[in-house]
Amino acid sequence: MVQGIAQHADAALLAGRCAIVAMPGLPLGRALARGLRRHGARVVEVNVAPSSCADAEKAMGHAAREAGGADLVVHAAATPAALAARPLEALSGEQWHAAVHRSMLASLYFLQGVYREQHETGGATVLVGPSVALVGVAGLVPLITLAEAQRTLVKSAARQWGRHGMRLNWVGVGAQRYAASLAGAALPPTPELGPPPPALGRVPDAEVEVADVIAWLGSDGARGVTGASFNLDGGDWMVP
Amino acid sequence: MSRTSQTTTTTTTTGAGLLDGRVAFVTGAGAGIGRGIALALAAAGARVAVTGRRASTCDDTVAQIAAEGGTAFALEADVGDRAAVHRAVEAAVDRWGRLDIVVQNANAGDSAHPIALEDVSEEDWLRQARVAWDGNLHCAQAALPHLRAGGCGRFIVLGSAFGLHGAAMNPVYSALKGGDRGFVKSLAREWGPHGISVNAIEPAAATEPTQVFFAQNPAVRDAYLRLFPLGRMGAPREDIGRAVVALCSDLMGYVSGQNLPVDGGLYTAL
Repeated sequence: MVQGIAQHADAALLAGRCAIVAMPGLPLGRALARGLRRHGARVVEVNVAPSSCADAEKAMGHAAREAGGADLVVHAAATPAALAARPLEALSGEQWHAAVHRSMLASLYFLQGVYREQHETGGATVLVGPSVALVGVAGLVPLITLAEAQRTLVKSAARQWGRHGMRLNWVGVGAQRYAASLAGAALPPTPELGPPPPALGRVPDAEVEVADVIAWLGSDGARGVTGASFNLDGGDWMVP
Repeated sequence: MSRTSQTTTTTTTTGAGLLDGRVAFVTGAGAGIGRGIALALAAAGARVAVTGRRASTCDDTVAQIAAEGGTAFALEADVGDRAAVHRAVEAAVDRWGRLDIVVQNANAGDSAHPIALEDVSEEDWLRQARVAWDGNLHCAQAALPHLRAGGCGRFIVLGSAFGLHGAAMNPVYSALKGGDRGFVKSLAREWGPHGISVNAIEPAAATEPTQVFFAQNPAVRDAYLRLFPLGRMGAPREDIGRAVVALCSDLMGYVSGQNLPVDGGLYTAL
């Protein structure tokens, strides 16, 4: 059994901190919320995708009041259309719009909501995507386009909002952790001979291993970390 | 060799003949980098469909290609309009019987304007995204049957260093260009079995507006140029256009799914 670091008595990285998990439609959010609670955070989940900046501000404000603050925000956005595997030539304009634009706008609005909550106090934000975004997937052009755009948006925001004490980072998880439906996609094999397991022999568990890293990113220990990309897929894809 | 002479056109560096018989479709080719790419492709032997939101904006590019002995014609194609792109691609194929190369260079006119992320509106996003991302989709869908039929298809998206490093005050443009990276990687995997390569080039080039701005702000120019190990910004035709020629030629036919900075050494974090 994998042991989370918070099981050590002195390792509650987020004791007294308030966290918001905004990953509407993705069950991964529920697992991460449980993991962050294990680290001592008061966690509120936002499960509705905003349709406007005002919506996001309202949802984030409500969640922050309920949690007691917004020290750490964990976010992911991918509409069902973005998670559907199909060849690019088969995509309708409506499917493309629902996949990339609606998802990106949700992330944009959530980040703007985070700004309203954190720009006076500082705080940490972690945006979660599939690690396979770094290498591309046939049949998932919209999702990977979206994921790389979100990863880049994190860098822009980190550069722009760093002066407010805001830190933003990106975490890539195994595709099957991001969304169970992706396990059936044409995920590319790693460039190793044969079908080896990930370097660690497993895809890290969301509730324990991924949540541990996100908790660290939200803690003072990571106060010098911003604009970074972390792949937590057990060593499938290693950034050059 | 001086830095100036490095960009001098010579017979050995134009790539003359490398693309003989090929047909290219270049978006946003009326000015700037798109124009430089169209000129370079034509000089390398390709017949070029020079496209812009208004065909009249492409007339100068077509005229210059003709003056140099090349073959081109202007087409109207708002890349955000699916039907318009399909019409333009079919017009190019009707004229020359094939399509081998697509360069999706078009960007929204205000893509370089600074904006704070907290102030970005839905309209800001969609205005730029319909050109950059919807343009990718429309060009890819319209071109696929023809690129597949030709046997040596090339699909190239013009990205940006902003999409690699994430520019502070250009969050929309940076995100769109970062998304282009995922687009080409995924499409390269999807279209590889058809023999089509898909790549992105991240250029840094001094376009006409850049040169005007630098002439008016020499201190900014000097500070900016210090970021480039090669000490200069690229020329749209000689530096960016020729890189596209190389990528479209058989010399680089085994390259796919890549994001290639052509920027004088500006971005080296890959």
